[in-house]
Amino acid sequence: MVFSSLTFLYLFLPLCFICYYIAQKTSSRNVILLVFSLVFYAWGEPKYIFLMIATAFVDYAFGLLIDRFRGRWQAKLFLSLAAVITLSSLALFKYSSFFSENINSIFSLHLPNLNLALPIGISFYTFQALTYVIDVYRGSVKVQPSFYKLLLYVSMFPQLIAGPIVRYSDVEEQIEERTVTLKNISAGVMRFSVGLLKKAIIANFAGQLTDKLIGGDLTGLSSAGAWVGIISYTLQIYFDFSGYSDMAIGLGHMFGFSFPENFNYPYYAVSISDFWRRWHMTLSSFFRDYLYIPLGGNRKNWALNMLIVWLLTGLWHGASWNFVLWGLYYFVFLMLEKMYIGKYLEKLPRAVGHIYSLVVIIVGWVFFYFDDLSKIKYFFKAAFGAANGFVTLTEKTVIVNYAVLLIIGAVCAMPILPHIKNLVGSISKTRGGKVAVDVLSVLFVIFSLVISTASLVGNSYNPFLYFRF
Amino acid sequence: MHIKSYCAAHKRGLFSPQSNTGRAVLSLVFALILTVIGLISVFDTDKTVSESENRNLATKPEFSFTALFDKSYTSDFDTYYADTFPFRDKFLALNRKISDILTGTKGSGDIVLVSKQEKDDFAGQDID
Repeated sequence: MVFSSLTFLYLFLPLCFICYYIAQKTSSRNVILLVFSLVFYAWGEPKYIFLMIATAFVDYAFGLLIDRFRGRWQAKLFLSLAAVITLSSLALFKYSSFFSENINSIFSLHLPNLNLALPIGISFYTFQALTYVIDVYRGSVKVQPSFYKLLLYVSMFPQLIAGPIVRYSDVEEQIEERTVTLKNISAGVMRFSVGLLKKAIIANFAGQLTDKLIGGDLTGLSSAGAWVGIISYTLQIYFDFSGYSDMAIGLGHMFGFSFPENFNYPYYAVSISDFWRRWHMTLSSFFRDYLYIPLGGNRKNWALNMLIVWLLTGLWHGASWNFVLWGLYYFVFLMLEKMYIGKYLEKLPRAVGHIYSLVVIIVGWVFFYFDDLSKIKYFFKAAFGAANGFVTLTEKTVIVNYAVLLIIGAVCAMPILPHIKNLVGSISKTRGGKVAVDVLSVLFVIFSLVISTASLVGNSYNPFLYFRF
Repeated sequence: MHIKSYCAAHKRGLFSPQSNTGRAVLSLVFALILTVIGLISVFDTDKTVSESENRNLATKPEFSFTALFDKSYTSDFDTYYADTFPFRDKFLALNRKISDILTGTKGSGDIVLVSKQEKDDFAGQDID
């Protein structure tokens, strides 16, 4: 199931709320949340739900063993086993076809291609389960003696299929005991409404534009069509992904959880390293804390460590060469910044950094969007006007039509809300101001629900972008 | 790679209600919209034909374990649910308005949207 579906919004969610709030004790609420989470996952993956349960069980069992043999050599062995088993399900279901195809074509062998379907959210929940065993080994979290609580952590539906990657340490205490306050619920409702609007309106309409301009075969693509197309994708993926994270964080609040933030106005970055501190923050910090630093960080072989991290970051987004290229692309810019251009960027006006970062990010999405390398080549040819000139009549019409959407998207991707919040903060000191903010908030939630529902009813175009993650 | 600082979690929500009354009203409104429309969707009589689109609407899929495990049951159910959603015609009309504002693709007479394929079909003719 996905958040931006009518079935989720109008059947699943109200039923879940009713059961959750009728129950008073955290222990019964845990059971309710677990049952709903399993239904949520089974709705999209009725078979692979058993794989998720098995993954949680493996890490649960090894967690107990690691704890029992703490400080002895066995603990290390059990940690390695847990990591190998957990990652091997990812390798099998996500990467086996990719590797067998490539090995076959390089060495002209005939390894079987298992053609397994990729279970939704597998890359998210395997990483989450890993943070648990690794942190038990490191002693930074307590071992979880109850299986259903660990399964609840791994399968909790708000963050199950598209992040943020919540670490066990983030919710360790909240799973045992949490209180839901009215302040939490209303903040959660606001956050969810923002996310829903981002996904159902901006991302989905931008997706239509992306599709029209660069979605089909690219013959006839002009320079303007190519650039506006990839800019539209830039907006689509940000509003889609950050919208999902907003909805996840909002739902978490409504159930008394506090999930980590995942996006911080990434397109407002002043450098590429800044971008990666703002984009999908829970993924980059996972790679930093569970891979880069254990490898030696910047003290030992840092260039090699960086290369490994960025190759894997690329591959994490999908088992395909274009994602490897995308990872390497960022590796190159991060190395360049660290060694050469970083010190100049700091001295130059901030605007230069903003423009440089945006150009690099937008061009980067080309490698992310097209999984066909020949299309990437053709795209760049067209983008520089070498294929079909500056603009065609069809594209001009499409671009003019979508201008309002592009402008709204570009404005909302910039950090204007914090400024509004400051403004609201000073207004809301007065009594009348407080009432105004309350009324506006309620109107906003109604607006978001009605508009998003209309869009979900009316548009068949509602893609799930993370099916390859 | 960013080793220096984990970007401190920003609490950057939109403006939220300031008073407890505001918070209660906000939460209730949200829950009521979802629950009431949800209840209507379960208990109303499903339409079978859409006059405005001139087509038959999807019907409730038959449950079977085969259909459940090959994912067709849940995806058919989602289609059926969207097709027979309460006030569907009103939401469709609203969506046409949103679409018109954001993408200028419906309702405006002066600009005609043609896809690449259509353009090819018109090749040699005057599109305008």
